[in-house]
Amino acid sequence: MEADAEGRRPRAGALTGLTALVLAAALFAPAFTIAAPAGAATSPAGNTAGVSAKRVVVGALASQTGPLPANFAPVVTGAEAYLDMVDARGGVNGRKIDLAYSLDDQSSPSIDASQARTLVQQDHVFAVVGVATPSFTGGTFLAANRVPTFGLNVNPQWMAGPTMFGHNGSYIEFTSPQVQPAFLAQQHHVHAAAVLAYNVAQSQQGCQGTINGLRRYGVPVAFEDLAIPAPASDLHADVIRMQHAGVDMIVSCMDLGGDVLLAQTMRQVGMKNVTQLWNDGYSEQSLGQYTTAMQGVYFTEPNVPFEVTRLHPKVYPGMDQFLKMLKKYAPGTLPSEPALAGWTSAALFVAGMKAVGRNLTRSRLVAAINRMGSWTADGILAPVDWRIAHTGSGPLNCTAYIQVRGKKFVPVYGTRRSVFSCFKTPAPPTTSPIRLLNPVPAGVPPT
Amino acid sequence: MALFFSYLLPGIPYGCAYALMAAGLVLTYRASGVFNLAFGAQAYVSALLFSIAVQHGWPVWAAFVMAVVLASPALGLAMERLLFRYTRTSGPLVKLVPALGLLIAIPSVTQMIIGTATRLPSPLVLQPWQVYFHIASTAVSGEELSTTVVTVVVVGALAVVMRSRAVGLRMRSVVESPRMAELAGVRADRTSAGAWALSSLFAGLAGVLLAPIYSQVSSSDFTALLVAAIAAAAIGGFESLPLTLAGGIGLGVAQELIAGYLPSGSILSSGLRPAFPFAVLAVALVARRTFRRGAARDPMASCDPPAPAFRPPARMTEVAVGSRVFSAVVASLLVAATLALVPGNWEFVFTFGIVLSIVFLSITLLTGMGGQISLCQATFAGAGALTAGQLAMHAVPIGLGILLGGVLAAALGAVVALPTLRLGGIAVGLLTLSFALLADNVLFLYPWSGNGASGLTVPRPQVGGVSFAGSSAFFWLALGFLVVLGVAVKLLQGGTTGRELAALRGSERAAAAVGIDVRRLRIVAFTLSAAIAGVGGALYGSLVQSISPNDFNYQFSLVYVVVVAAVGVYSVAGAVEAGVLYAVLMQLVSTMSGRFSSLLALIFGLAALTYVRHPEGVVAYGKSWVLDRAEQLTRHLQRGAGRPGGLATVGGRRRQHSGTGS
Repeated sequence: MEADAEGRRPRAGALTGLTALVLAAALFAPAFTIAAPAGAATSPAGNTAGVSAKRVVVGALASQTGPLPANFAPVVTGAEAYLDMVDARGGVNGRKIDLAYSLDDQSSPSIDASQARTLVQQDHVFAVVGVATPSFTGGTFLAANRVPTFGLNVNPQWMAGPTMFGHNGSYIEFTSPQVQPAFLAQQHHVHAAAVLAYNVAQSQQGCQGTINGLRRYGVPVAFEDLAIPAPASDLHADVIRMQHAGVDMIVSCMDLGGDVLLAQTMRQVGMKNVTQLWNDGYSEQSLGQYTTAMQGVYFTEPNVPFEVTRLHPKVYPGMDQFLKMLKKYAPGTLPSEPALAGWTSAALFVAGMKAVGRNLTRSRLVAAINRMGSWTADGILAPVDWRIAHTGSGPLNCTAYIQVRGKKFVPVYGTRRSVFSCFKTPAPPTTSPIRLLNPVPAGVPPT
Repeated sequence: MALFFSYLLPGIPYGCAYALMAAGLVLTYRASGVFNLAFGAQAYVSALLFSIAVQHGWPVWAAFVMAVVLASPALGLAMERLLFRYTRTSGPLVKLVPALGLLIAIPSVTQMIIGTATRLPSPLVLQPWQVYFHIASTAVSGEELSTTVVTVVVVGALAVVMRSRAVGLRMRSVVESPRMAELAGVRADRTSAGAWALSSLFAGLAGVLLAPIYSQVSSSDFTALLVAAIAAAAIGGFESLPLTLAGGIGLGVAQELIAGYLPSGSILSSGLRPAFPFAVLAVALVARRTFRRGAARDPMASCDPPAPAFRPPARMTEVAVGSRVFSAVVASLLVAATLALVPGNWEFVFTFGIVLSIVFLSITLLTGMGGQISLCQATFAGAGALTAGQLAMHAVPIGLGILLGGVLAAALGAVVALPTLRLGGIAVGLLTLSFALLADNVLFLYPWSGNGASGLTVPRPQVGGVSFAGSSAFFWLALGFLVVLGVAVKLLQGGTTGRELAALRGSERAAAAVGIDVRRLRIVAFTLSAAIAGVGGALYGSLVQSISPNDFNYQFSLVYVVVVAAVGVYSVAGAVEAGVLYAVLMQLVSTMSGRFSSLLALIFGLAALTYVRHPEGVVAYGKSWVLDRAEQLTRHLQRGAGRPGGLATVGGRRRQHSGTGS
């Protein structure tokens, strides 16, 4: 084994190790089975994993650390609050629901894939209740193994199968024309709109849908920049161009930091009387921090705004309960979109359990939910038709518009009976005002 | 004209932010010879300390003194005393790896000890968004005013200091030739420490000054700003502070003008704007003579021959055989446990480790064998994965897609290698970094590559009637790829190309002198390395089945280099150990939440700091230590058995290792 005349080394440890792996492969050849495809049906044991006579074990998976934890982590708090409330009332069909595992994917795609498998294959949870992450890599595995999964719908993996339940439906078409910004533009008689997004796929394509919607409904788009380097550190050129183009409405698909920079730059260059629609920032914490920058800004939400509890007491009992229980079970947690997504996710899971009855299996739970034609989470959400919500959006599009006025968020538009503004979709391209459905159709909260 | 000025003027403070960070890089580089990629992390620490102190009611001046005047130089002194003092005469890789380790470790440690700041960073002097005056009808805010004034004054002062005989000349002399400097009576250690304290003070100032640009204090924001600012430093040739200042301002102004004048919504605008700083970096690196390879700065460098390439110590036959048997048993048990004993999620973890090992093999080949620095290996992996995904969308069998992913990555590797042919040292690494950033910001964002927000689905392969859809089957497939590629790299290492690469790593000039075509060799090394990374990336895609370009961004490239360098960059075994260790630790650490979630980064970041003393890697060093003890024990036992003792005869033959390390 000594070096040869040319100094060539004998095979060292690495090659030995690799050879050993091959030998091991031969030794354990019986273990080599051509496994069933990843999309194989859940085994009978898996169908009732985590279910015992008195308990159902579920898990959660969220980005509790990483670049933007505040946008994802509260989903677990919201889900926990709902399940704690249910357990305090005796559980469902004699079973308590134990959110025993709350895993953090650290905003990493590979950790997400690994954690999804940990929940199913190591922790043997019955369902994953409370998912929110920027990279839901594990969603493919959960869908393939038919694990009922509930959470914040911001990833394409939510469309991976009938067991995936996004908080307000599972279908995402990033670039489909959006009616909400167009309606807002028409309300403000906008002459020239502008759309801004980061040079990041999700941000870009979300705003491409906005541009498509504005154009479809006859709102001129005078300026678009979908390639702003993230994080935004300067927006002067964009703001000056918008000012010179006479822009009177801006839709932003940036994060809160970019939006605040936009507002401050507009103020600096004297760009006033512009309607702004932001996609990020609807939280009391943000408003407390950036009160000046957020004045007059609009937000759209697929759920009843938190403010209805104060403005319309007892009209939206679901939201009243959410705020009350969040305070009780998660003191210190401010209401936010991800927390509400966790709450409504848990509510959907519980509704499915109630519909199934005592004989709880994954497939029966999924089938029960997918029969629900108008899911509103006790009057919090615009109705979701789970019979079609995995593969398309329904014929009805309901949104709550909220505007910042002073130190408060104020629901605006809507109809006499509801904070929701509902439109028929897809509406034909039109330059005439987009028509609100007034009164809101049956099933839209609070009706 | 007024419109022109309205674009131009805001570009100046924007560019000053670049210049401030770039000047910090240049200062550290000139004063210590280290390209300190952790400069952004240092700035982050000061910004965080300042913000938290102010939020806790400290007066602004007191918070400034604590964060900038005390804490930041203290951190710099600690870095110099514990780490960079020992790299003064080392090559670029030895200087870069600890800097990368710090880039990863500093935010992790800070997060564990201090936590995070979620509130708006506090302004230093002027209210950031208050308009103080107008120039040519353009409003000037407090943030713009303070950034511009402080940058120009501080960089100007630094330029004067660096030109002075008392400070600047001494610092430069210590970097260029410590021994010559000491012969001239300069105390190298003290001068070096002073240089680090000064550059760290600068980092602290930059952090506190620039923090109000962002809505929260985040290390990733500072790192992103620093990475873009490297272009300004490159314009200054990593030497000239005035040119760096001019480069930074020019960069900021040019970006404003591009954003201002290119047609809104055009492909040109959406492509050129995000790519601009990185394209400038690439051009500056290639164009400036400073970065050409072969520039020997130290006039006393030829006093000693170049440091010998790492080689593992010779081992007694008994110990060597025992080590192999032990390795074989551990590997077999690992495979058996993966398939039979551990839960399915651990099967995924080990498969992930194997796939990662394949990507890491590409670093072994390029960096360990060839001594070339690449900071875009994750980009090559991404190219392979996205190719496989796109081909799968067009009904090309995924098995073929994985191989074609490797082919495309290889082509990209060759393309990236071409401009590096004239470059040497850290410039090669920075050029690859600029390619990674171009891919992240432009190339991977097109629908035909990354498929936008929807990402790509990469199915599991099916070869003939054999499906690898199941997790066990895929484990074997990945293992098969690892074995084939590992053996190939091993054979390459022992063959002519491997020896040429070893020569390249030792001394490019010496390699050229003995007739090795260094340029061809670089292209070959980059091409083969990229091909391996591409196959690894495609396998990763097939493992997780759902990918997006963000899974392969430049930060992964930095982390990969840190992990492989920390564990063992010279050998195939090192790559496998690094891959498996990373995957296993990732799984173990992922159970921790909150402050300790970044423990994985901390572990490998700190491990990378040992690269200065143990370039073979901590695991290789650990194994060597154990084998040394085993040899001592063997000798002791043999003496006890009455066999002849003594180093020359004990154990009979001693195996002779030569050539490259393993």
